[in-house]
Amino acid sequence: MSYIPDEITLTNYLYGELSEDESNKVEEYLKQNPAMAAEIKGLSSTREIMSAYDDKEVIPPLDLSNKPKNSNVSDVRKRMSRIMAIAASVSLLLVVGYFTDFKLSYNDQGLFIGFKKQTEIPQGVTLDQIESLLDAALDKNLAVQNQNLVEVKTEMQSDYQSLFMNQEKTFETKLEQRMNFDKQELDRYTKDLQEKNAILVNDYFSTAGLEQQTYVKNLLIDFTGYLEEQRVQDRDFYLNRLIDLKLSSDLKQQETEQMLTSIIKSVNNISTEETTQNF
Amino acid sequence: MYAETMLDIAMNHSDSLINQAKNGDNRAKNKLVNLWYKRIYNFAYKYFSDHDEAMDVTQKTFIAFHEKIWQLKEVAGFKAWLYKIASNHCHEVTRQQDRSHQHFSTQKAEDVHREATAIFFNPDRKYQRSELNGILQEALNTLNEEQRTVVIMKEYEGLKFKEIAEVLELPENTVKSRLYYGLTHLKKVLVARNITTEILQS
Repeated sequence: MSYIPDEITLTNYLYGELSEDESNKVEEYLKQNPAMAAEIKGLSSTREIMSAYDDKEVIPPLDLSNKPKNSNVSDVRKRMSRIMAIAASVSLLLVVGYFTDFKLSYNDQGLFIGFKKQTEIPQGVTLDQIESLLDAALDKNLAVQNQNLVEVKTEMQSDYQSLFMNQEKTFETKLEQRMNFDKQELDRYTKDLQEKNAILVNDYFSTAGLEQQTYVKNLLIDFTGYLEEQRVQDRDFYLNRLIDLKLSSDLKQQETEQMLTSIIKSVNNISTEETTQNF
Repeated sequence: MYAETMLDIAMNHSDSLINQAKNGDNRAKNKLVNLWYKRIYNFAYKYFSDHDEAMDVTQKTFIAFHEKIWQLKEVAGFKAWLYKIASNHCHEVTRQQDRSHQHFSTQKAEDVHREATAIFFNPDRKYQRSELNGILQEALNTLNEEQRTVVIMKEYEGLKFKEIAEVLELPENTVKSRLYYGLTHLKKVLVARNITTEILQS
């Protein structure tokens, strides 16, 4: 046979991706080449063994869908880039400041930034003003935070309600389906039970009728036998009684005969004596 | 070989999610991450046989997914596209950490080999599933990178030959050839370890 499949054909055969004709050709080739057939069988077993390797469980990251819509990974990166840019600018300013005699100082009067010699700067803003400015800024920030919280809460409530309603609806539908199913199941069960019961009763009666018939038949046979037996016993009884009667009659007759004989003898004796006396 | 679960069905029927994700819907993106996270992690784990490196590649893959999903041309090509990202990260990590990974793999392979040898000397012994997993991972580790990638994609991730060819940017026949020689090599390793289908059934 000149046909020799290459490894690509054999791979296709192994994964069932050959047409019927091609597959038949490969099978014919394998029949005539037991070594290659064993090789292919071994590869198939190898696949089976390797498939026993279980997946490892891993927890996916948390669902981030409730986060604000503009917060994604690229935004985080952009913010990081901005912070880095600001830091680089400040560093540049410090280097430039060093070469231009940049001055930075802090005392009771506040923070001072400047070039060359430090001069007296009139105190512009009082501590109270700074405090009130800070308070105002904090209040504003707090208000914004509160507003954000309210928005998030509203969104969560809306999501929750929608989810709850969907789940309730699904539950009702499933319950209804289940109840319908249960009713159908119960009807089917009852019908099945009735049919089985009917068969059982029918079987019982047919079996009972047969048994009863056999019993009566046996009873009749037994009764006939009993009557026959009784008749034989009665016959024997009467026969015995007749025999007894006959025996008794014979005895009586014998006794009577003996008595008559005795009387006759007595009478004869008397008559003889009388005759003798007369003579 | 590859049994389809409910999760697989969800993964293979998520066209609308992919479309929404392409349009920037973060919720759809997160759902896709949840659907595919385990598969990509297991692909990387079988590639490296190391949890940390697998987690690293998985995270990088999904960061890239978040940033580049809008570039996906066809929804049908999502699976191949995602595995391509993961596969590229695997190659990148292999290149970067070649020496340390080599050391780690050798170390790990020695441990697993010790377990396998114990079974070899006592072939009737029934062993735990985790031990078998270790032996099969060791067998995978003996493949070269190219064959290992193809075997994992075909046998464990259920990719079609066409998809693997697309991921690796190779002709389909090359993929089939690599798979054939990869399986042949695995067969020899398993025979040497006395691992048979009968042992699996016991």
